Formats: sequence, structure tokens, C-alpha cells
Amino acid sequence: MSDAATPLIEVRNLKRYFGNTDKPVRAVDDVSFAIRTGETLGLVGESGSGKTTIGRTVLRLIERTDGQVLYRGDDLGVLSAERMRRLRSKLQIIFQDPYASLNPKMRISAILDEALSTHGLAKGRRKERIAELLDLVGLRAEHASRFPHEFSGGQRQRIGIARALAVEPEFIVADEPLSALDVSIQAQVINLLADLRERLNLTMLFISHDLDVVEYLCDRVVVLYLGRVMEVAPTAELFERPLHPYTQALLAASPKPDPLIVSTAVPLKGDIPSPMAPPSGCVFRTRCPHAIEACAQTVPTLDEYSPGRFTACIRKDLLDTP
Amino acid sequence: MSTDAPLIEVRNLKRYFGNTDKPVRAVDDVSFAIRAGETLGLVGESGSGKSVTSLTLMRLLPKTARAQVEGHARFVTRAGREVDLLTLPDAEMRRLRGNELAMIFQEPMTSLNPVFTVGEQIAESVRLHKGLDRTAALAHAKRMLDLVEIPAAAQRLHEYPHQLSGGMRQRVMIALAMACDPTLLIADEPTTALDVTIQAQILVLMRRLQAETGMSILFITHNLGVVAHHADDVVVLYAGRVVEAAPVRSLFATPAHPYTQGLLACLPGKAHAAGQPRPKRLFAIRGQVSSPLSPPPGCAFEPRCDQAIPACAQAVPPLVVTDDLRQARCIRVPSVERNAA
Repeated sequence: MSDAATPLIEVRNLKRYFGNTDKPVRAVDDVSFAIRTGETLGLVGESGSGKTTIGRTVLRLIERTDGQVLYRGDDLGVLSAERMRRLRSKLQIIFQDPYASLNPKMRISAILDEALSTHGLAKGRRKERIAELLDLVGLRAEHASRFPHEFSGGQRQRIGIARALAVEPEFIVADEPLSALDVSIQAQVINLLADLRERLNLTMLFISHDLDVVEYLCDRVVVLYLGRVMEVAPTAELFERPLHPYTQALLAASPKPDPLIVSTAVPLKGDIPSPMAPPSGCVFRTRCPHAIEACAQTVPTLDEYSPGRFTACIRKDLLDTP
Repeated sequence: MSTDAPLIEVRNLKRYFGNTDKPVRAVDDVSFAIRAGETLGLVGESGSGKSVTSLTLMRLLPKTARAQVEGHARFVTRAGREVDLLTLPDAEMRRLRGNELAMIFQEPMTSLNPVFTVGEQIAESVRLHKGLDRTAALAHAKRMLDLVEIPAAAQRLHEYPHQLSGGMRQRVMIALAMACDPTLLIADEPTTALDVTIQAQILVLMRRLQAETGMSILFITHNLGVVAHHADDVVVLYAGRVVEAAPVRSLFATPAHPYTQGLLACLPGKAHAAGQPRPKRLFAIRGQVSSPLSPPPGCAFEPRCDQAIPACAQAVPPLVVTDDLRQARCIRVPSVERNAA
């Protein structure tokens, strides 16, 4: 075990550009955050904010353009392919679409067995371990002999979770694991994730566009817009009093399932700009109701507002008048 | 609420697919009414029959689906004539569709034609229904793009769907639907594919257009947050049947049917009040929707219901009027008729 001060995962100035070097798509642009052992960090943002790219770059499923991803203090980006492969049992991912992420030609037993044999785990007692895993996610041992098409969406997502857990990971990237599921099934999977997290002491990067789910499941939240971090805060504080104008707009735009809570906020104007030609200065300024001329000049730094709360906005004057 | 006769009244709508021995009952007894200027939210999960209901009313299901249809859909036309949308001759239906009845779909990319400019697509419906010539129709299309607040409408008119963002495409869809000034707009998950800040824009736009034109909206969605703020009345579907119908406020305040209760209780956004600690577990409806090929003999929700009693598995419960004059399909909900008996 590393000492308590070292976060399990630390992302430093991560960049991921796609396309040609003249005018690349800046999918992730200078993103930094840390995740402590046992913590669940929420990654929130709309389409094109870089959520999924960050999740995959952290696990080196795609290579970074610049920056570092540290696991227990070691830079994952410089590890040899062989060492990285061995480490992968510690770092797992649950995908968004349970219909696309399970091989339709493989039985569930083979899907789970593949994960185990790749890492040489549970030798000689594979069958027992597979039954154990299915039980862990609320399925039955006899389900092992079935094919993915025989399961509903919620059950498939349970299988995806079982596959991620098969190799006893410490860290899981959950990339929108609920968005393909119906509301009543979502609650089941949320409970399953919360239970497993506690029983197995998992550390999670939880990627979602659903603010209600993030509020329920996450300890801290990183708010992204167009590949950049807008705000970082403990969950309760973020939802109590969002600091960044974008976070404020995002929370106001999300309709609460209660007809008595009437939002008076005016929706944001305009569209999310193209990541191929992001606005100069603050990327949010083109839609920000508080933008001033200076916002176009410099890229705002992520500054600490109060212990644990960071916001990237030059309008510090707005913060003092809540 | 007004006491006017409703613009559309759907009674006992049924839509079965497949062979007649053992059909899939996609829609099995759905009834509702929408008055002029009001919005009805049709809520349910995948497979509950939301979209089949809307496609049946618009008569957009292909003939090859060989679906059996039953029930009535009484619609009052602009001329004041009452017609049944389910039995109207095809030619007359074509005159109503896209004209008095319009529809917007979930996926604006797949529901716009990629090989025509957006202007041509909007102009098509006014040329067809209003008999405008090319130039006049295109001018009308530009007015429609202005109406849905698309910036630089004159230029956008000549662009193709792939040149627009998701939010802009959905605005074009709405412009297309609004082109002939419909009295009923069927919106099938119109904001599901959009980001929340764009969703908020589209919802405000739909509300503004409704206030200006007085059209009625059938709003189909699975998003209870959207329903809470944009519907006057709500109909909850489960496995093809209406399980509850109520005005929006009373539905959210006191859901009568165990399914509606469960649906509201399992939302993470309702798990705790502001400032309260979050609970360790969310309420979850257990199990999953039973297959439409082998529905349970009694109440479709009985296998998942915490309040089920043996009688629930005996027969499909009727939709009854509850004490507070709402509707629920549950034998455990006190009803006017049962109390009187």
C-alpha cells in the first residue's frame, strides 16, 4: 500500500487531440484531477465535453497526446505494453451500451472465463469463480451457459459489471453505465454499484450526463465543458451552490421530477462550439450570461475558492455576491 | 381546466402484432383525451406501447406489420367535423397528416431526409397542403426557421441536415411540423437525444409555440422531470395498458398505482430532500417487465409489485375512477364504483 497522501489515480494536464496537427479536435485539453482510494469521482458534461475520452485515456485504451496519468504514483503512459497488460487487472471499465459491449457469439461463461484466463486467475476453479461472480451481481449460476441475447438490458449491464470485477480491480471507470437502461432498472444497477463499491472497496471514475445519478453516487464531481475542467467540488457543495456559470446553467437546465419546483432560469443560448475551433480564452464564454471582454483574452486557471472547491472563471466578483 | 369537448379522444385503443393465435399486444386498451391548448404526457418505459400508440394514431405503421387495430380515435378537424383517425380513408388521412396532425420524432438525424436541404423539406408540406408555389413555399419555410429561432435562417434554408447540430436539427423538425399550423402535435421523445442545456431550449420553444398557436400536444417521454414541468395531464403506460391517469400535480404528489409509486420512488433525484443525507439504497422496482409474448394472466405489474395479493394474478384489473376522480388500474386502489357497491 502506498501512503495515504498519494491518490490512487492522478491525472495531470492530460491532453488528447485527434486529427491533423494544424487544426486538431481538442477532445481533452489540459485536464487535471486526482481520485483517492475508495472515492467515487463523478465526471459530468454534455456531448463533446471529453468525458469518455478522458475515461479511455486514463486506462490507456487510447493514448494521450500530452500529460500524465499516475497510478499509485507511477506514470502509466511510459509503461511497456507487457507491464501495462499485467496492470490491467487492477484497472477496469464498464461500458455504456450493454448491447454492444458483450460478444454475441460467446456464452456468459466464456466472456467471464476470458477475463480470468487473460490474467491467469482462479486456475482450476474457474467454474466456481464464475458462479461466484454471477451471484455477486445478482444473477444465477445457470445463467453462465446462456448467450447475451437471452438477457435484458439490465441483466447485460450486470454481466458487464461481473466481467469488470472478475479480475479483482482496484479502480473502475464506469462510462455512462446507466444511460441505456429504463428508470426502474437504473435504480437496481445503482444499488448494485453502491453495494459492490462498499464490499470491494472500489475506487471509481463515474462518467455521466445524469446529474441526479451523480449527486446520488459520487463523492466529488468534476464538471467539463468542451474538453476543459470548469469546476471541481465535493458533491453536496456543488449541488448546494454551484460556483461556475456553466455548472449553474447545467443544474438549472436539468428538470426536477417535481412539478412544484419551478425553475425560473433562462436556458443557455446557442450551441456547444465545435471542438475543432474552440473559442479563445474561456471556452464557455460564447454562451455565458456573465461573459465580459476579458474572458476572450486568457484561458482561466482552475483556482481554489475554498478548501476542495475549484472553479475556472475570471469573474471572481460574482463569487462574493451569492 | 376547460370543459370544452376534447380535440382528440382515444378510446380503448388496441394494437396487436403477429399471428392471431398469440399476438404481441403492443397496445392493449389505451384511452385518453386532450383538450385544445393542453399537453398530455404519455409516460412509460421501453416496450410500454408509447411509440406504437403515436404511430397508430398517425397511421404511420407499415401495412406489412399486419397489425390488428381496435378502438376509436375521435378527432375534431379545423372545419369542426368529427372523424375517427383509425377508420378514415387513406386519402383523407393524407390531407390531415402533416397538416392538422403533425409529429416530431426522437432522432432528428434519421427523421430528416439527408439529400434535401432543410428549406426544401419544410416547403414540401406547405406546397402539398396549402398549394403554395415553390417561391412562396420557400419564403414560408424561412419564416418557419425564424419562428423556431434558427439564427441566419436565410442561409440555413439551403443547408443539409448534416451541416446542423443536433439541437438545430430538432428545431428544423419542429419548423417542419409547425409549417401547416397543426392543431395536434405528437412529440415522440423530442428531447431524448439532446443535451440538457439544448433540451431546455427546445422545451421553452415548444411551450412558446403552444401558447402562440393554441395547439394541443401529445408529449411522449420516459423522462419524468420533463413531464413534471411540461404536461397538464399524465397517462402512465405499463406493458401496453394505461395503469394511471391524473393531472400532473396530483400524480406526482399522490401516485395511486404501485407502478407509478415505484417509478417516482426509484428516481435518484427524489432520493433525498435538499440538505438531507443521501440514503444508503435507492428504492428499486424488482425484476423486469415480462415478455410481451407471454404476459402474466392477471395484472401485468403483479410479478414486480410489493403490494400484490393473490387476486391480482387472477384477472387483468379494469381501469377505474378513484376516490379523487383520477384513473388507476389496480384492484387495491379504492374506487368510486367499489365503494358504492
